Amino acid sequence: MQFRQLREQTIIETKQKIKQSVGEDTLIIQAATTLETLTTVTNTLIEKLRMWCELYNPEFSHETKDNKTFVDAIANTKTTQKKETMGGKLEEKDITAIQNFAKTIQQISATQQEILKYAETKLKNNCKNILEILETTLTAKLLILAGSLKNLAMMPASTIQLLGAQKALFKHLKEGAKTPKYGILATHPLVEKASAKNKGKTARILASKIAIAAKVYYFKGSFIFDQLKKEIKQKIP
Amino acid sequence: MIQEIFPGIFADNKKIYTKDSSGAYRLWNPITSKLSAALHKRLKQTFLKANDVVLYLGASTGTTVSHISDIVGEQGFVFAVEISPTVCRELVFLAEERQNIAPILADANQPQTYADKIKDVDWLYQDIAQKNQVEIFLKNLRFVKKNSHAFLIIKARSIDATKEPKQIFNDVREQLQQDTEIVQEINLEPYKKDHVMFVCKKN
Ligand SMILES: C[S@@+](CC[C@H](N)C(=O)[O-])C[C@H]1O[C@@H](n2cnc3c(N)ncnc32)[C@H](O)[C@@H]1O
Repeated sequence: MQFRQLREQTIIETKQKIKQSVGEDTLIIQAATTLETLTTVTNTLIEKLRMWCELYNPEFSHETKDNKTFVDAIANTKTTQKKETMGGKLEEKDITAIQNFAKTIQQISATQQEILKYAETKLKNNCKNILEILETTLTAKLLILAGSLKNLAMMPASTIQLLGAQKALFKHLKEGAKTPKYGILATHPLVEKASAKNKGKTARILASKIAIAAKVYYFKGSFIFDQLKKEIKQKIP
Repeated sequence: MIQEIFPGIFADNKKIYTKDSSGAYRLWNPITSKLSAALHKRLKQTFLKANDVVLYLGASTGTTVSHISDIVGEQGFVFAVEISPTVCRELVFLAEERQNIAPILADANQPQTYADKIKDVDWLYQDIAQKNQVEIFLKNLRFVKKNSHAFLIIKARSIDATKEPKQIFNDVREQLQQDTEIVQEINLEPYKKDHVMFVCKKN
């Protein structure tokens, strides 16, 4: 075959493979990482909103510790200054600018809720048996760490147990620090509740359940089945 | 003044370039491309010239591939293998812009999955940060003929983060010497920490 033909053929084939690499788990992971980013971004924005608002009404910001309450109050009502306020004299248009910024933060929070629901529904449809062991956020985090559902399904329980413990593992290997016994699973309520002595064991049991759930799901799940069927068809001339 | 230092590779006092098909110089950044870093660190020979066919493993988005594509020119060819669909998208766009690149989404651990798409390779290059990077390289040596040159970038930390890089490089050298003659070995510091390029000639 000529190089020109080889090039054309590989471009078509690679495009096709890239297309097929987008699965439900890719979408879940994308949604989950976007949620993580939104959480960080929102916190930064709220900090900014507070600094801005404190020029005008520092007392209100000081009294209102809860972020959501604070943002909603700024967005919905024009807060009034106390008589003895340390805040400066602001004009109507200054206050409106602050209010509009607060509204934007509200909108972002609403989008965040929508994405969360979207991810939850997808997780329910796709990894129901894992969700029975872990709740939504933890399942999503585990998926992110594994990279894909396929990777998770291929992992031995011992690896799953240590997902998210890379730093501690490295420290252990390099400096002889204690062997880590769990990674992200440390945040599971059962591990949190367990006595110090039982934490490792609990994480191990959880990990082995997850390993089985992921395998059952991945190898029996419908979309992999379609994929397999397709591959078989391609192989039979 | 810009001079040709190796076939298709140009340099002035400080910087290195390749020439695209329109004849314009393209800056070749040693920070983003390890082959450029090796050139800055006095690579003695590239063993690469116009019309060569290249097999490139770990192509990523194609930064280095694009310069190799410049060097081999329109009559040359680059087979670019990359495992990640995400970065491979960029590689496909590059291949569509240039006439001499074939983007292949595949695992270099399994050369049999792309062997039918590859032929007549003159020059092999691998930059894959995996634990078994040497094994992958040795497997793919089958695509080049005896006495052809093969370049391997070793990232010590990927092989074993707990061992001294020096020890790792010694082990790699020994492994490589069974199937190749090592022509040159270049530490890529300060451009890349704990990376060595092995220039090999297949036995
Ligand atoms: C360090 S980057 C290469 C950068 C590239 N050589 C450049 O200079 O532009 C390594 C690439 O190897 C890819 N890779 C890792 N394992 C691989 C494998 N088994 N087969 C093919 N590519 C792999 C990674 O996805 C990544 O894009």
